[in-house]
Amino acid sequence: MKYIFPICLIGLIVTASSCKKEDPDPTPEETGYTIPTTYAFTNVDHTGQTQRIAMLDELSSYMNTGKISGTVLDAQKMKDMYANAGNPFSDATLNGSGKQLKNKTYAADQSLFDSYFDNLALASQSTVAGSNGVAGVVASSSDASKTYLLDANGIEYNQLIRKGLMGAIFYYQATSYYLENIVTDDNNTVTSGEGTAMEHHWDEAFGYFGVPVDFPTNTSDAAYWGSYSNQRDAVLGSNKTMMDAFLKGRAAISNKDYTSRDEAVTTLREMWERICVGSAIHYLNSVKLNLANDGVRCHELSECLGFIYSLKYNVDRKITDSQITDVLNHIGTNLYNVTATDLDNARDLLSTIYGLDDIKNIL
Amino acid sequence: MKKQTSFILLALAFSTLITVLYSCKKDKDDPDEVEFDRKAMLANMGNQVIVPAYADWLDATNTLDSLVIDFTGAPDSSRLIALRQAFKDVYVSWQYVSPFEFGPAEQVLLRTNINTFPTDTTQISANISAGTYDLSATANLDAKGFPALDFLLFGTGKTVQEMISLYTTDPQAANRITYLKDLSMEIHTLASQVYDQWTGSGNYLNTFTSNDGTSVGSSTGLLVNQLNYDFEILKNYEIGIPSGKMSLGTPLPEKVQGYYSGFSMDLAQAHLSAFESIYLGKGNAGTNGLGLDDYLTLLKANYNGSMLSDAIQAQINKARTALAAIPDPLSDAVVNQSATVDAAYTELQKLLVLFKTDMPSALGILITYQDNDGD
Repeated sequence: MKYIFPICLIGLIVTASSCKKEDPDPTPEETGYTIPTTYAFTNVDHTGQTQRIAMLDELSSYMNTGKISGTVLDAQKMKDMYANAGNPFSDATLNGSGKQLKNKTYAADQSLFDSYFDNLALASQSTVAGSNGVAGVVASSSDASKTYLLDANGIEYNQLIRKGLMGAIFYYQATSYYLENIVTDDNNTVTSGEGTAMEHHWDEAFGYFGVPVDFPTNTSDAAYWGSYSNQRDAVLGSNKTMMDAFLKGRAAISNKDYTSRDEAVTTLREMWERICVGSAIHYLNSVKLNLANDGVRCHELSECLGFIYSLKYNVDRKITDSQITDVLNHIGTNLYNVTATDLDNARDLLSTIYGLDDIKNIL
Repeated sequence: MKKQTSFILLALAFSTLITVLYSCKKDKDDPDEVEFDRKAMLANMGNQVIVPAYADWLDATNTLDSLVIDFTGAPDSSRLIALRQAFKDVYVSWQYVSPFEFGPAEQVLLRTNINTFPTDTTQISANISAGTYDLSATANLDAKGFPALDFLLFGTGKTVQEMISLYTTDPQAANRITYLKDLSMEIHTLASQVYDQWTGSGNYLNTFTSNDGTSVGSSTGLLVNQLNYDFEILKNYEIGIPSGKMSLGTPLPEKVQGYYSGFSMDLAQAHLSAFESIYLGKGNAGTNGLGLDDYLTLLKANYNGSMLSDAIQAQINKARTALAAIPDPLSDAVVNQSATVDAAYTELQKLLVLFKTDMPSALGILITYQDNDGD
């Protein structure tokens, strides 16, 4: 009998302390959850994003055929690939996926991309070489095997479409749709294979970044934004920052640590925007080295334009719409007439807006 | 003696242990473990909140309809001004029934039929000049209801005299009068139908009160789901979209509710009050009966170490203050005072998180509608 009393007290203390554990309001330090080093969470599914990346791959391959003079591109075929209409893809799973690029494009710009397809198809009908004022295929002056299909103003719509859709779909959906609306998502009801709505939408944002689960240890399969992150990584340190934020946010959501989740959202939006503007600045620098090479200049400037246009798709962006217009005005509408001063003005304006003056020359 | 003391202490320890265990069990958030009279809450909600709100709205649609007849019989400025006031009253009272889109309202798609905005002025003009139209057609959903009346009674940049001339000397005056009457009558008819279903022949009030579980399709489930669905209309359609939340920050002033009359913020404030009434179980007579707050309080639902019910009330108050800081017309404010509008949007979003994730989770209610279409 003597010993039962203390044992019972111990039992009471144990019970009371286990009860205390259930009290909410844990700070992250106290919960001490683990953030994995790869995107190896349970219930991750971003098939829709992977499929859209594959669709843009197929669309790009088709558009690239227009680089051979005499190949006429079919605008309707490109629009069908854009809207996934009439089984346009060679990969049958894409045709039957129920997914499409068009309805996930920033709504106000869907018709803009349709007009780009028309413009690209029109340029492909040219039977002569391209030059200032004349649409057609233009070869690099340093490597005749590299050719580009340009319109009369030197615009390579192929690139405007690819970089533009990276912005208007992948970047827009991730930064302005998923990361914007995630705060009101349910985070209690788990759907098998997808997790909670909040987890799922986070995974979908990650899917649009286009990197393997063990990025940046493995960078080999990085696509689109993942690839550009990798290309800017030496200067921006973007790979680890992006991946760490995706890992941190996902772990935070699964552990209902919304402060850390929101920190990760801020980091992702900021760094993603830096990858975008860093790529624009990179091309402005690169074009200066190829200023006399019509094909390469127009090609790289078209890529650059795609990144500059894309800056607007981040709802939390640092640049204003009128500043984007100012940058574009420096470049002008005819890429055959761009001067080194124009390029410097555009680059300096961007680097000032983003506080990148100290690295603007090495991007 | 010593033995006896030990025994008493032991018994005390055991009873404490049992108490601790029991209180532990309570923390598990299982609504069934706690005795809350959901039926009584639903009865209060139906009798003190919902039916009186419908009755008010029905009265207001009746007044609107008679003033439409009055104005169109002899259009002049005093009749137009009276009609405009009646329109404001009925549009405000609509905000208090908008959240109840289940049962009778859902059957007639009340919200879609009554308040699809922005209205399609091209479609309205086409209907007026055609003189024939099917108001039940899908194509006319955005050419009728309050948003269409808003346009027909206030127009854009027109003086009172110019508005009156549209109903007197304008070539389309006769058709316009008919259209105005038809729209007003449809609203009144729908209001009568729904009210009748709740109180009269349909006796949905009884159905609502007796369906007192928490599963999908239960009255509490329907109420909480529609409260959230409708709250998202306030957050997104009334404030967010006009201020540019879906257009990358570019304001879209013409998308506000009440664009032509310009009392968008009166409507938004009323809408927020409607949600508070549901939350508190507070009737329009001012009696605060059993509501969702009482349910949360009884469950001891916790939010960052304090009561969830208190956190929600505090956030409602913050949202109200933030909305009050936005001056009408909202269509100007989204352009000229975007920071003030953004601040209100943020407070509404915080309130939505409490309503849509914390509250349903504590109540064991599932949010079943889809709004964030990931894939």
